Amino acid sequence: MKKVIGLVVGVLAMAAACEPVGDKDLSQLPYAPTQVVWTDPPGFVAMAIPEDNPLSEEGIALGRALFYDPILSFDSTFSCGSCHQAERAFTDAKSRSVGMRRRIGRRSSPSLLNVGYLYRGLFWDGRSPQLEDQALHPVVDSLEMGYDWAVIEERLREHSTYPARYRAAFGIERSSEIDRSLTTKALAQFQRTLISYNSKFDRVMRQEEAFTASEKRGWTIFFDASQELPNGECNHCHIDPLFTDLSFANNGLDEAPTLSEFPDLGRGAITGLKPHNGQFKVPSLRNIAVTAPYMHDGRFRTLEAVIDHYASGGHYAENVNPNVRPLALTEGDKADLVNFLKTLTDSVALYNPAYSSPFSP
Amino acid sequence: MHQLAQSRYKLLALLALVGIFTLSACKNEPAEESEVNLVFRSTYAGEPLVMYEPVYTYEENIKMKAQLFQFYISDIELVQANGQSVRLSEIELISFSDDLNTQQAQAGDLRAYGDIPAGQYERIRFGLGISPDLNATQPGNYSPNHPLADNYWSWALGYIFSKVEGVADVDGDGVFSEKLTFHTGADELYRVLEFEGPFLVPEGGADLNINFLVDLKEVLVRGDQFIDFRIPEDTQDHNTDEAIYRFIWDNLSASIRLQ
Repeated sequence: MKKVIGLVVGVLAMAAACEPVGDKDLSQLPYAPTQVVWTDPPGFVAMAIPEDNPLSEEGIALGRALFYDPILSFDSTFSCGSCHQAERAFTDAKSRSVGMRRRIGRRSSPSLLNVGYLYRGLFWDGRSPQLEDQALHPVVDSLEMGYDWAVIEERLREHSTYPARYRAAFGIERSSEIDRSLTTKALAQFQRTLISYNSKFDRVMRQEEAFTASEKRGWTIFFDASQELPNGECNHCHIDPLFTDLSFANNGLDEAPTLSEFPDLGRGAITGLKPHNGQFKVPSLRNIAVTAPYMHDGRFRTLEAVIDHYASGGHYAENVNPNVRPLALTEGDKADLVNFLKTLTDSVALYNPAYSSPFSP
Repeated sequence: MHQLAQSRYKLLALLALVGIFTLSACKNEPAEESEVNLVFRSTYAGEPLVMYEPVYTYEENIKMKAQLFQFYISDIELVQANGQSVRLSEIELISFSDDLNTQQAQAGDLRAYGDIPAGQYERIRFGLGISPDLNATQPGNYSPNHPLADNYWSWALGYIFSKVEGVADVDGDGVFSEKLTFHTGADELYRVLEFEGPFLVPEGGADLNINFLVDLKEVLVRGDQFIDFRIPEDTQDHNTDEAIYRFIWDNLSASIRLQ
């Protein structure tokens, strides 16, 4: 009898040894994802949702938890939400983002509202084609979350709740299937739901509200919509409804006698093409009043300073966008432009409970 | 039993041979549909137009560099002698903005259209600009990579039919400080261009290439008339100064030719 018991114990021990430590069988847990049928805001170009990452309630909820969970950083002190704060339109009010252990990043944190519509490249230099790829980078960037995906994957596999949530979102059978690909898919799902289209500008366009006289003048200057007011030349690049044309442009921030002499090569560092040096992604202006400081390096602290820059025509470089040219704006015109830009603030989006941290009290 | 199985195998083998023979016979038959390639190339005074770096000589010895040159064409059709037509595409954005070296400029902007019935076509035609029906739509009606997902003037409720952008050195100091930007678009500018063939779409799946050429200098200069970059007000037009935008548009439509 003792021999039989010994044999059974031995077999069980061998079976346990075959299963990797911490690898949990999840197949008995429910997997019935609730698909989300996405509806684009009126006037928006259809969002390109990858076929292999459809939106589900479970995937979005998992992505939201991961977005705000410092588990993705080296010392578990830092999450995506540290640099992308909802009430600041998912920016962080810093010239250059500050990462783990207060390391200063290379550029400022871009807004994530409507990021699902930015289909021509993410980051200021457009290095990532889509959100699933984008989320891979900050985790391993030594100036951001500074860690190693292999270690993060282990953390997630051994976590008390995440394996079941990955199962609910993606149908994995074992916790060992949790990897960076599924993690970034979940993060991408959550980020695609971050939408802004309920600003005063939108309500005016929907004829639910009216601009003040100053805002209306600002709108007219912004869109070069009247020959009786000076042109602001803004809408060549900041096209509504996204208020970006998704392009990369040199907007004359730095003087460069040749195309090789920019302090930050921007897009050119990614493509290796000299004409792209000094070009950066044209950011959306939605919620611009709450995303100071401005530009990829946060050099302008106020909207007034930004408008002064454009009114000057910018600094010389041969690849400065030709629409950046001296503007004949009075101080009143500039004030009207600022007032118009403030109508792009969407407090519904900034304080949307669905966008906030699920860990908040 | 064994004999029955053997004859079944023989029958199956025979059927397989017939099948293979039939398939290979189909392959050798001439296909009735082929591919048509439209290629647009741009030049400046006959030289390949390359964006950003090359210096081109304009009128009055002004030097210029190009940054962007693009235009829409609509309702592209091959027309037979009997007047019947085959549509290649409803809308295309022809853009030379990615031509950053001579090789790219010489390759041009290529569009391939499959399943075009073989036969002889007398001419090809397309609308320069965006047809009024399409110009009444807006980017939100389209998917991200559609040509009409971009280049829209919301304040004018219409698309920008063409863009020419660049920089100029007007005083010969070697500094390209004059900025040039000409954007054009309005229903009344839309016009249909026709180019006489004949064009033979061959049988057997072979391609027909139709090559177009458009010269940027001819867009900005006509005879002794030209847009004078030395006049600051004339370095920019966004469909506001009729004299400029009509000049550009007329020149653009005249400068597109079969190669």
